[in-house]
Amino acid sequence: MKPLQTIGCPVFFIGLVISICAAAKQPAEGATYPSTWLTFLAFSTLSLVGLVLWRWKPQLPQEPSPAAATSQRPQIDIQATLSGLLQRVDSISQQQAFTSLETIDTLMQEHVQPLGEARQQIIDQLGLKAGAELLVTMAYGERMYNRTWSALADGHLDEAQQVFHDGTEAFREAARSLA
Amino acid sequence: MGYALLRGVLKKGTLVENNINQTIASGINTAGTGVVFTVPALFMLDAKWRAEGMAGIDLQPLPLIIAGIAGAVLGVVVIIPLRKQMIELDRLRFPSGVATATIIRAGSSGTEKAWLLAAGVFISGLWKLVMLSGWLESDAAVVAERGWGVSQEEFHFGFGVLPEHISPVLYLSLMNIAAGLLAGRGGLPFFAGGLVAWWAISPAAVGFEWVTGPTAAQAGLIYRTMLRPLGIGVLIGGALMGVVTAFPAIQSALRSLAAAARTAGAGSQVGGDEMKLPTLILGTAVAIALFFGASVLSGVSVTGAALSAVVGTLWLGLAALIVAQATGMTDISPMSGMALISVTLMMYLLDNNITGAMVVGVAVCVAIGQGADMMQDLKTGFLIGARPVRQQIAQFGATWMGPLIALGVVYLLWIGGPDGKNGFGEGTSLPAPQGGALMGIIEAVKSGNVPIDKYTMGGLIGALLGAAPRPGLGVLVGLAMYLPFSITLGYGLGCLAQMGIQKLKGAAFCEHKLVPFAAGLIVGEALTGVGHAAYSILMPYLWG
Repeated sequence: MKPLQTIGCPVFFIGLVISICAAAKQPAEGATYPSTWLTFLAFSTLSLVGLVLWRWKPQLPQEPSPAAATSQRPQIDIQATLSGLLQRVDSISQQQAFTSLETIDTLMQEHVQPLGEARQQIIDQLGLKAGAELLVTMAYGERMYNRTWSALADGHLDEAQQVFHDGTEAFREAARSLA
Repeated sequence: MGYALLRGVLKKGTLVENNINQTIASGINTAGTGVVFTVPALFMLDAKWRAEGMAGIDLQPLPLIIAGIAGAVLGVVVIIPLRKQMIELDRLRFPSGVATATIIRAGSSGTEKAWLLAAGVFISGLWKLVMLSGWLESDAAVVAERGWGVSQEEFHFGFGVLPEHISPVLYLSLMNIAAGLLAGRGGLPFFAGGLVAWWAISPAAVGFEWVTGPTAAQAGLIYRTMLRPLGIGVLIGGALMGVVTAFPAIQSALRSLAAAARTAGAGSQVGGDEMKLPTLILGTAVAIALFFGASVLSGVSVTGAALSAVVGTLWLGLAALIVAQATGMTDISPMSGMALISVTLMMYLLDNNITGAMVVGVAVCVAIGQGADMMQDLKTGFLIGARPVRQQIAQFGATWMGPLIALGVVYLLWIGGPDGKNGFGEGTSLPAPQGGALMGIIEAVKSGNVPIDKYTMGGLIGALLGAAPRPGLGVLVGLAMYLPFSITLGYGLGCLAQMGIQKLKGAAFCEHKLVPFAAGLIVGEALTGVGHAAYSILMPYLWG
């Protein structure tokens, strides 16, 4: 966390808690707002300052800090996880062995769920718009794999193969957009 | 229950078909909840004013029926474009949706998961029975005097040391704790909001002598006059700011719907599983027209009806978003707070026309219930692999039945009282507390006694929280302030327990063992509650 963000976060919450306390007082008879409204405004403003510092992102390029290096690592992980998923899927398809629920469970647990859990990293790295598009594409793939599980559980192998293929195509599309 | 009947008894239906079945069933019963929250207030207010020699309320069923149906349709159409945002981008937990998916998949998930689920159902069901039997209950006065004990399914643990105003009370619901177990770290801001409300604001109010009267009554006074209205304000401000900060993602979701409409039949996959945008727009237009018609029928002028249709629809969309987000993050719905705000807002706009305001109130309550339910079902569908468009069509097709059935039931309950009236309300076996609260707010608006300061100041705080880098903070903190601390505490303990278990045993243990067990806890308490309600209704007929 950068210094400004480190200061901003506690300033935001301290200002917020005091302003909420000030807002709680009941107005006097005939008044609309409580007598603590100035305290409320002052600490809300302090909280706003804290918020701006917390959200602050320097525009100028800087030397990568250890924290920034850490935040860049998940991008490599996401690509690696996606590649790992597709390699695993290719091997499964070649062996025609995906008819077992355990295989789908393992695939979901080791490759798909970590991608879902990395949503904030994806948005941080790609921005809200591009990150959202990638997440929606991967979510489609995840839903198709969930459907594969359901179809297998119900014994509908043809449907399972079809939706498994659809899900894999969505992950390929996601991998292409990241490349 | 539907799953048990279809899969267990009739041996019919695939997992996806069971999901559709559950979508239809919950779509009908949730629509009823909105009616039950609002319409009783009209009956009770009418009876009260007539008893006091004042003019009663002109009760007309048709505008309420039309408003209920319009609300049911609007609730579904306004929430559908947000599916991608809430389920695929924010990945909200929707604990009940996860529990339902776990149940549907239980038969094929292996024996260990099935046993864990069954253990959860058994333990929670048994615990709920103990609670319902009253074996652990003590008299409220005794609990207050000695400082500990169980009263109204809540464990009081002040032990004469902790003051009442910090609310040392735990709601003894395993379902509530299980929702926290499913949410884990994500639910912590909700817990933190409760701590701020009861361990910072409340002591400040007592310390600065902002509340007077007996010590035992201070906690109730702080909750009713400070925390609850402030919480409603924070919820609204937080949700509004949430829309602003997430706008690019919402825009992307809407674009995806529009693109799906353009490329329908052309092989588009990713965006093609949603109900098409033109259908949603048509549904919205029809529902707004019904809304307008209901207002005119309730005696509102054409201008007033147009105003209530437009403002009501906008407010309804925001309220549905708030309730769906709150349900997605915590499994707890602030529906009653939204109902209070709806009626207050519309009474101001319609110059204290109670019937007109209630028409909007019914529509909003039905809509927000539908929105939250649709999202829970879509979350279940996501985990099962269902096509959202099929679920959305199913909910559309069945949703109109809920308000009709619920209005009929409310009417029957009312005329079931002595002399064909007063079948529910204070002093009866059906006290209708939400209706009573709404009645109170109507009388407060008429006398000009609305906590505007709390709503606006809370709204500003909510906006600040909503703009924080942590998504959903405003809604979670607002909800925690709005609810009694006993609920927030139980939920928070569940979150902390999940985090501890995950640290000790790892994420895979939580996913494969804790989730089915927690799902069982939710289902067990829910089923026992339904069974107890059915028993209470049927008992007089069975045993005279």
